[in-house]
Amino acid sequence: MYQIDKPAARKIMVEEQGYSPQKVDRLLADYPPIHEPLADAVKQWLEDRTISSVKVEGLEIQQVMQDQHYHFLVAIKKLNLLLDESTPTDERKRLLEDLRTPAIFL
Amino acid sequence: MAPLNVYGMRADVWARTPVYMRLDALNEMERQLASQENRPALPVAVIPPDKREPGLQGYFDPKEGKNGGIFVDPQLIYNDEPYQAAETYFHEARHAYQHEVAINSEEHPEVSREQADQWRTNDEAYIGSEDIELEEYQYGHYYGQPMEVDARQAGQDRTEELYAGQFQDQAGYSQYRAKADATKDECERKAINQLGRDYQAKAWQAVQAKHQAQQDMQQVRGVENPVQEPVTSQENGQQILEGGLSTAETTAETIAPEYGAAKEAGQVAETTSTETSELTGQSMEPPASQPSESEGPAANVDESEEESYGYGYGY
Repeated sequence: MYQIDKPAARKIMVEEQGYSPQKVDRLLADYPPIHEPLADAVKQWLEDRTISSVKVEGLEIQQVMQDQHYHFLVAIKKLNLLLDESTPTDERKRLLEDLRTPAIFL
Repeated sequence: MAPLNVYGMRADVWARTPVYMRLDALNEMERQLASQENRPALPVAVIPPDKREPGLQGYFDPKEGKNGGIFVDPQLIYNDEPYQAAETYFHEARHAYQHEVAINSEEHPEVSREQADQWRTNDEAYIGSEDIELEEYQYGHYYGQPMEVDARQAGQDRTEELYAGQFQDQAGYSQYRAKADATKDECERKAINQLGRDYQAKAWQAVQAKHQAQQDMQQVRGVENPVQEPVTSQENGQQILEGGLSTAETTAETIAPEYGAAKEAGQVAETTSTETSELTGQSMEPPASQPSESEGPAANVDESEEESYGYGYGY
């Protein structure tokens, strides 16, 4: 399990990506420990913002970001729940269905 | 809605109309519908390349030009079937009407005061995709907010009236309708998955809480700067306060503790552009014949400067 380097993530999101500090702080406040192989993906992103092609339950990080309009760290958080053995089966099922249904805006 | 005289939207006519002329049919429809609705006619154009995103089919931007603009995914214009372009247009046109009622309710006695008030609140605290990006809200809040529920219904009803009713389009339209209904069902399942069967009520609560928090922040801003008028700009329906906002938010939590609590409650989210010269040549200017008048989370309000624009993308 890997605990994200919150100050580094905050710096990237606020200074590089232009998100508001308040929003970023709210996201990072209770950011969970991350399971492998997503942990490596987070480390890579912190390093150079590259998004690794890691898949969880057939869902790729980039695909989740695009389909759900999520930031990288939100996509990781969602996929991490699928790897977490403490996630109840029905919640995992719901989440999978959710992530497999693209968000449509109009 | 009185029948629209829009021959160019008929499936057989649309299919043989050159792509670059198809927007003319949508603009003609907008002129007639806007006139029926006692609102300025808006230009209808394709979504500019820098604003295209997967899943974004269209949006209404009240800040475009003098009175706003309606934008649709260019793929819908390239499509030789007009149905989705029409339904998307009708959906965004409904947002234009809602906005007009919200800011000018005395001109629209056909809308109850209660409805106008609800749209005004939603107009000012719209939940868009940019609110979902960092998990401030969930898709269900977007999908279930009053303006979206109403626009979806209006979009579907008018498309049905036009194709099943007026044009008596038996084949193509019913196939499209079946597919569109299936997509709608999927989106609704997603909203229910996230928020429960009462997702619409929860979305409305979230909008109201967001609106309240915006007002609290404005009040705080006024308290902090009693001499200087607060400088605000209307950014996709949110009152964005410019300057000194980190302090304003902190003070808002002191003065209005429910704001901070609501923010905490807000952390619930567990759970192409093949450009053708034909379309990029389309201008947002109205056609020459047209005068240019043409339990959910709550209170995740921010002074963010993130760009957002229009209904469907975060109004």
